[in-house]
Amino acid sequence: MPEPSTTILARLISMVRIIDAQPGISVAELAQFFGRPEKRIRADIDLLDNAGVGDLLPGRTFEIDYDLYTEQGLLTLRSPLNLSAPLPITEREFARLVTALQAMAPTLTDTEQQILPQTLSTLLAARSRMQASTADGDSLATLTPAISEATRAKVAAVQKALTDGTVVVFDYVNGAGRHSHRTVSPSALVLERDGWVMTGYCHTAESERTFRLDRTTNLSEAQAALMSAVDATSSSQGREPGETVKVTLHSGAAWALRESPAATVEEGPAGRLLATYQVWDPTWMRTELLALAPYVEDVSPHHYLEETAVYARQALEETLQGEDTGSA
Amino acid sequence: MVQAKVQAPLRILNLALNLLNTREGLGRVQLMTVVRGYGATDSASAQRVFERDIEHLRRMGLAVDVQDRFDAATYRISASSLPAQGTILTDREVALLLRAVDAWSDGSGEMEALRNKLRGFSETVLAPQQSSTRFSLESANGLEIVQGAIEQARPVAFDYLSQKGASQRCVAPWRVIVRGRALYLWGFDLDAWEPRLFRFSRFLTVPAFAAPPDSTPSQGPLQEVAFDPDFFLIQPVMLVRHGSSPITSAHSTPLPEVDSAEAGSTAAMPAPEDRGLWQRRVGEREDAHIWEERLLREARDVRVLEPSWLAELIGTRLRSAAAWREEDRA
Repeated sequence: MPEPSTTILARLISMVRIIDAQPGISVAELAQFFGRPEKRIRADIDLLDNAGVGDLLPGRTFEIDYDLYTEQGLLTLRSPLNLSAPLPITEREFARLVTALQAMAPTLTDTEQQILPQTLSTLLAARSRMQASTADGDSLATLTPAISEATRAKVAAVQKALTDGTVVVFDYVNGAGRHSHRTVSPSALVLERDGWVMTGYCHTAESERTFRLDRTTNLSEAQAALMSAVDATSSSQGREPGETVKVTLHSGAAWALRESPAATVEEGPAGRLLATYQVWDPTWMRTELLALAPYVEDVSPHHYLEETAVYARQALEETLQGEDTGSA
Repeated sequence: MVQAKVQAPLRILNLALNLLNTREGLGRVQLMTVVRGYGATDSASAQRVFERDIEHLRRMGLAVDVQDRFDAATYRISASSLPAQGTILTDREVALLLRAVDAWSDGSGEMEALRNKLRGFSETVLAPQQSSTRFSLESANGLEIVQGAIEQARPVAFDYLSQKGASQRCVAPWRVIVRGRALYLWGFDLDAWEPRLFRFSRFLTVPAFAAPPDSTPSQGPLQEVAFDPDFFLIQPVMLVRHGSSPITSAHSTPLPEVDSAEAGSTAAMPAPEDRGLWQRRVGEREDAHIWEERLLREARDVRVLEPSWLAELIGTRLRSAAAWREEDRA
């Protein structure tokens, strides 16, 4: 898929600044830095070689040393043509960066926590000068997400194990209610809809596993002989397609479906909503149906509706028994 | 004369360079002539391309000034509108910010352009290591408008979808709150006249400034109420059936049994002969969403005592589900 013009343009302008600040930088270094193939960087250099002011006469172009470039793959330019500064950060970009840093707070290392105020101050200074701001780096750095101490401690422990290459030990209750004690070399920590999820090599199961942090207890980092690092990108196993479950809901469910894990949500006849789920765990689907219960009209396959209704009646019968026989 | 086809990035770059290297400013016709790739200057489509390129530059953060001179507009970018030349980020700072960009990765080019922009601030060309921690935040259209409104103390207006349906809201914003992947606006609802939380994913329209700057009084009821960081956290008190509900049991601790009269309520207490089957427990302090999911999952073996809103919420959902296909059971 071709890159958008804005992506290429941002890279070209940043390259000018970098080449001007670090003359003799190589094509290979730029390729690695920008995460693009050398062929793409060379195409970018060709664009820069054809860029300039007015009629592109000498003195009005970057004047890349083409001999040095073609013979040794190194880059210098005579003049940055007033592009020696980075591009300004827009309001939209700044808002997203600050908000993301706030969300990341529980996962920051001590070093990152220390550099955060200065990083934010630099960003503030680099903002596009469209309007005045009362924000400052130190106050922005104190913003933290709403998170329980229990979760914060677990995230910190897993993060530390990821950084140190050690293991975490914990007790775990899976979705089926089975207890286990685990020792895991984590390879990734991901925040998903249901919360933080850790992936890693489970030394108990002797295979790659995924664990929800909210199902763990007594989690701590433990010193262990360094295991060979599991490449998180290559270890992700292909997941078999789940069962497709279709839920028909009345229009009042619209607000609740905004954050739904449904694969798709479509408008159906008479204003109804049709939500389609991929299901690997029937208990999970039952829980989702209960969460949406006031709005559910039908479910296909039908047994999900029936089983969830039976489950709800059993739960209420227990309560009713207590009301009937309890006494002051 | 037919101009050779010029790639859009080169055309826009040349436009930027010409705008940066003029003191007086240049007119549209002049720019479309010297910058290759626009074609005929009097062509309507070429003019549209030119205006779109100007917008591209503005969206990238460049302040393109337009002045009316001699009955024609002139364009320029002042070099002083760029960050100071020494504005540098260390390798660690660039790595941190690139991770922050990953939170918004939606496959669009906008975030990739931001990554390239941030790399331009770097003092070296060390490629940062890929992080093993990943998260993606829910979409937040209008986040920058809300942040700007917070900084300028201006109210914002938007259409919002709640349990009661869609409605127009006008809010004096105080703060953006992050909760897991979700983003909320914490502010004073100027219609309900009380502090409220609004989830960005339920905004039906992009927020817009509702009034000029400094129009929202900072004193009295609109003065910022500090957001309680424990707002979303609960410690439910429950009755849990012995030997069941492994997830709830793992995340709660036993409470001393109390006499039903002391408890002040008999409705939720089991029958005396059943009391040995149930144990009072208090849950660990955790996000209400997590507890709601646990309790719905194990609803058959757990009865919520406190908080009352959670007991009512679970009860409502169970009663709704129990009523499904009631006519089939009759």
